[in-house]
Amino acid sequence: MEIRRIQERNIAIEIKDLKYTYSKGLPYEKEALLSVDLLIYEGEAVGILGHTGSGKSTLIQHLNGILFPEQGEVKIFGEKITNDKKFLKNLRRIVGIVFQFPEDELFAETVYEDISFGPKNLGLTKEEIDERVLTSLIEVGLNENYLNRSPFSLSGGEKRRVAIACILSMRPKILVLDEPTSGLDPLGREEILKLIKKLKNDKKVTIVLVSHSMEDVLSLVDRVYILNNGKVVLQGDTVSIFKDKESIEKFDLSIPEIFLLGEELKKEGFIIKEPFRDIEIAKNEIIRNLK
Amino acid sequence: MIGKDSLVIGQYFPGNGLLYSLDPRTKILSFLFLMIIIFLYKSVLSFIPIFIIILFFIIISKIPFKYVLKGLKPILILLIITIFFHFFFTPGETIFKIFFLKLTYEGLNKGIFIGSRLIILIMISSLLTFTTSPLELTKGLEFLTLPLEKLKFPSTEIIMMITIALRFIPVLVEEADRIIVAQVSRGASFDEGNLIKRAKSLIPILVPLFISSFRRAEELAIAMEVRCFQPGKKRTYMKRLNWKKIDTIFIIFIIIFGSIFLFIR
Repeated sequence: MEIRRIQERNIAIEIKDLKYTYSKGLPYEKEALLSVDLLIYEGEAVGILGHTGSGKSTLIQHLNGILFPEQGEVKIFGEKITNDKKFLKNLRRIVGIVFQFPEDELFAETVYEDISFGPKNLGLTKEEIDERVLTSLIEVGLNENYLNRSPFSLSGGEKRRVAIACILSMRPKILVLDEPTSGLDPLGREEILKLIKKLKNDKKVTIVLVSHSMEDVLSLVDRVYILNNGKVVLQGDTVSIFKDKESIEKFDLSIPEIFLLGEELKKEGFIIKEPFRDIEIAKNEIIRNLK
Repeated sequence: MIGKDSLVIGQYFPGNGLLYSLDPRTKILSFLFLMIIIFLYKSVLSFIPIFIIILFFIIISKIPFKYVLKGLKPILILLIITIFFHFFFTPGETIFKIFFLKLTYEGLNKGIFIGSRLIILIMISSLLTFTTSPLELTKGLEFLTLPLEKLKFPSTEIIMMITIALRFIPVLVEEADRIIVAQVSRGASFDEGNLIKRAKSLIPILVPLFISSFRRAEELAIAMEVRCFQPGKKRTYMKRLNWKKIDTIFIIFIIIFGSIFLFIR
C-alpha cells in the first residue's frame, strides 16, 4: 500500500548514469562521479550520505545546472537540464540549494537586502518582494525586527537561518541542503532541524539533505542514498538502512546512538512500535513500555 | 568552474623532465637572462632560434600546447593593440591605405618584431612557472636576493609575503568559485545589462570574498605568532636547495645560446 502511494507521486528528480570529472584532460583530473542513478519523488525527504570526497557536493551541483553531466542525464520534474539560459533561470527558482556554510555568502548591509536578492533577480514587483522577504524570515523563525539589522551582527545560528531564508524567498519546490547543521551549536542545530521538518510537513517541499551527521539524517529523511567513490553503494528507507549495521560501517559511516538504543532495548524485551528516530520518539516509547 | 579554468598564468604544471629537475635558481637566472637578451636583439630573425628552444622545452616537459595558449590569452588584447598601432602608425613607405590608416613596411616590420618579443616574453615566464612550484620559486628568489640584506633590503620578509600570497591564490580562487556558485543559485547573473550593472553584480561576490580573506589573514597571523615567527630572524629549511652539475651546464648553455644571436642584424 505504502509503495503504491509513492509510485503515484510525481518524480521530482531523476538522475540516470551521471558521470562527472573535474579538470578533465589535466594532470589534476579527478573523477568525482562515476555512474550515479537516483530517483526522488515530489514531497519526499531524501538523504544523501557519504564521507568526505564521495561526490556528494558534485552531485548536488548538477541539480540546478551549475555543473553539467559529462555523461548521463539529470531531469527535474521530467525536464532534462540543458544549457539554455532561460531554462536555467527558471530551474534555479525551482531548485533551491543551501550550500555548506551559507552564511558566508551574505553580503548586503541589511537582512532585508540580502533576502530580497533572490526575488529581485527573479524580477518580482516591490510588493511581492516585501511579502516574500517577510514570510521567509518568519518561516525560519525570525521576525520583522531583524529586517534592518546587519547580517554580520547576528549570531551563528541566526546568520544560518537568514541564509536559508535567502533561498526560501525564491519559493523553491525542491530544497537541497548541504550540511545545514555543521558548525552550529546544539541549540542552533535543533532550530535548523525543526525548520526543515516544518518545511517538509507544512509546505510539502521536496527535501534533499546532504550530510554526514547521521542523527540529522535519521530524524529528518524518509529515504537514504549512500555514495562512496562516486557511486551509489546503498539505498533504501532510512530505518532499514540503519538496521544494516555491517554495510553502514563498511562505508565509514556510523549509526546514531539513539537508534542503537532502540535496537538494544528491543533485544532486552521492550516492545518498540516505532524505531527511535529522535529523542521525542524514544522518550514516548520508553514511557509506554514502563507503564 | 569559472575561476579555475581562467587562471593559467603562473600555474604550476606537475610533471618531470629536465626542467623539473633543475634548481629553481638556475631556471630563474637563465630565463631572466633570456628575457633580458631578447630586448637587445635587433632582428626578428634572432627570435626564431629562441622560439624553437622554448618549443623544445615545452615538448620535453610534456606541457600540452592548449595549456600554453591559455597562458597567452590574458595578453591577447594588449598584443592586438600593440601590433595594430605599430602596423598603422609607423611612418614610412605605404603598402596600402584605408581611410586614415596607412600600413607601412616599417610598421609591418616593427609590429611583428614587438609582437613576437611580447609572445616570447610571456612564453618564457610561463615556462618558468609551469615547471617550478610556487614554493620552489620563492625559495630560489629568497636565495638570490639574500645578498641584498646587507643593503638593509628586507629580503626574507618580502619573500615571506610573496610565499603567503602565492600560497593563498588557489585558496582564494576556490573560495571565489564557491561563492559564485552559491550566488548563481540565488539567481545572480554576471553577464547581463550594461557595464555599471555588471560591475554592481560583482558586489555579492567581492564582499564575502573580502570578509573571508580578512578572517584568513587574522587566523594566519595568530598561527604564525603562536609558532614564534619573528620577522627578520634567520630561519632553517626542511628542504635545502641543491646545485648540481647539470645546473652549471644549463646556465652556461643558455648564456652562450642567447648571446650568439645578438649579432644577427
